[in-house]
Amino acid sequence: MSYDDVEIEDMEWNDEIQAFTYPCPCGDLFQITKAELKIGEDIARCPSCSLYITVVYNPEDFQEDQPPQTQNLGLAKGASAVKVA
Amino acid sequence: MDIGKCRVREVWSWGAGTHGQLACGTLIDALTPQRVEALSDAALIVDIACGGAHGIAVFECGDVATWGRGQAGALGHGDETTITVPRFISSLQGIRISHAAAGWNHSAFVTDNGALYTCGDGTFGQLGHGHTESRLVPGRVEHLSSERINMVACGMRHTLALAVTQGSVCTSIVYAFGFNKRGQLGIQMKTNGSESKNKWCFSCPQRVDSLDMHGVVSVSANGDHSAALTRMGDLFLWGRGYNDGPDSQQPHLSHSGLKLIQVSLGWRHGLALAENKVVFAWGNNVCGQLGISRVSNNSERRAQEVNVAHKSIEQYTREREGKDGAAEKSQRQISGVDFQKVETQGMRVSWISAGSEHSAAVLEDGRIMMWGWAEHGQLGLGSLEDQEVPHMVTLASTRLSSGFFSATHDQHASANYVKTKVYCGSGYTFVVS
Ligand SMILES: [Zn+2]
Repeated sequence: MSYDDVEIEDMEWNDEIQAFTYPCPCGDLFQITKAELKIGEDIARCPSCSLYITVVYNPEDFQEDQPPQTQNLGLAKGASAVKVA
Repeated sequence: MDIGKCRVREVWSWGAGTHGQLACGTLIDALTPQRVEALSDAALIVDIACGGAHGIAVFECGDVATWGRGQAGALGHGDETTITVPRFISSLQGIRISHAAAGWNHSAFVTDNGALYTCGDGTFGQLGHGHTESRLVPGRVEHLSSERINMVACGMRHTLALAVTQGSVCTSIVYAFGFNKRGQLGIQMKTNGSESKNKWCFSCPQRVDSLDMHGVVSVSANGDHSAALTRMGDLFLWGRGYNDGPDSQQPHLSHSGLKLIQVSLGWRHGLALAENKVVFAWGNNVCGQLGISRVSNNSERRAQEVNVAHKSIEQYTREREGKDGAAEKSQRQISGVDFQKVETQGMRVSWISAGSEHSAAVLEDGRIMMWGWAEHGQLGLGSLEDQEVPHMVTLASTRLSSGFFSATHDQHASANYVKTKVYCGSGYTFVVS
């Protein structure tokens, strides 16, 4: 079961591991790469435990190569955000 | 330092350890309690704070040591280095710290004369310095320099500070800063008015004015949750909703029906200790973090719930008769909060702590019970299996006498004796005994 649903705008871009991250309750980070988002993946996993989160984002925002700033994703309002099943 | 025979204490840690957060010089998890040599038999510890993956120890002399993940400067040593053994924060030497709090990647320190210092991740304004930069060494929160701060609490991306004015009438003010998307600051405004990604971030301390007249005596925070406890033993909750309930942008009175004396929040659950030494829990129970058996004692628990509900009505009536606005206050009862009695096998509890997804209680005789999420060994039971009811943890103490006898002896020997306390971080646990 997904630990949580997290909007992409609430995740932080981590240059070191080249992934969007969000805190995991184990102390490590849930992670998802732009390449994964591009193919419609919506599960961000933690490398240290069994937990994962569902990332809420607009897949169209990742179809073109874009800079990794989340504010460019146009997800200010929930209406444009869709959950990829 | 001569600590004297009666003041010897021991510090233990277990659980997630891959960022050095167990302070034992290692980068591995520990499934059973291990003695933290660097903090045992040392100077008196008056407070410990455990965050996402870093820890803080406050010593009686006012010094502070930190360890664990150094990302964004959370340890306050001037860099982002992760360290596996406690190191004193040199920039705070000469400043007497009496209390500390640890968030996901930020730290807060209160001095004995009421100043607040913060360091670490400031991305969401959670350091309170009026910007969203991170700080590698602690800096004083100047916006609160005219207040006497006596307590601070750190959530994942926000901070609560309690200012107390001593006078003929004891008044208190709660300040909040950082991320507010889930209402965790408890303030009127949800956004700061900008249209950017930063619109949820308040980097200057905001007054939680709806709590002004309630006599708040303690604040707590974790994840996106916030709480305040009043002198009367009433509990206010705000921030992210529990059990998928709606978020609460304003503090809401949550009736337990009993006078509460301590509160500790996890990422999806909360614990409260009542004056009668019984522990209540609410929120998500997927990992067993509420400590209530799902199969046994259903009738007993129902009876307890009825009892609580009954007392709530009594209290409600008392308040309605007592002062105007109480009825409205009661209607604002936060949804998704259903207080349930933790099954401590009938034993009285003196202290509680909630980790992200696990829970701990210290019994009056000094023994420790743990329950909830165990994937990293954070229950200290030598197992990775979640526990839905409290289990006793064994500390292999090197002391000749232990537990209650020792505590009694020490209380006579030193007024400074700290009773056994447990502190839960995200996926790990510390004990000072
Ligand atoms: Zn994890």
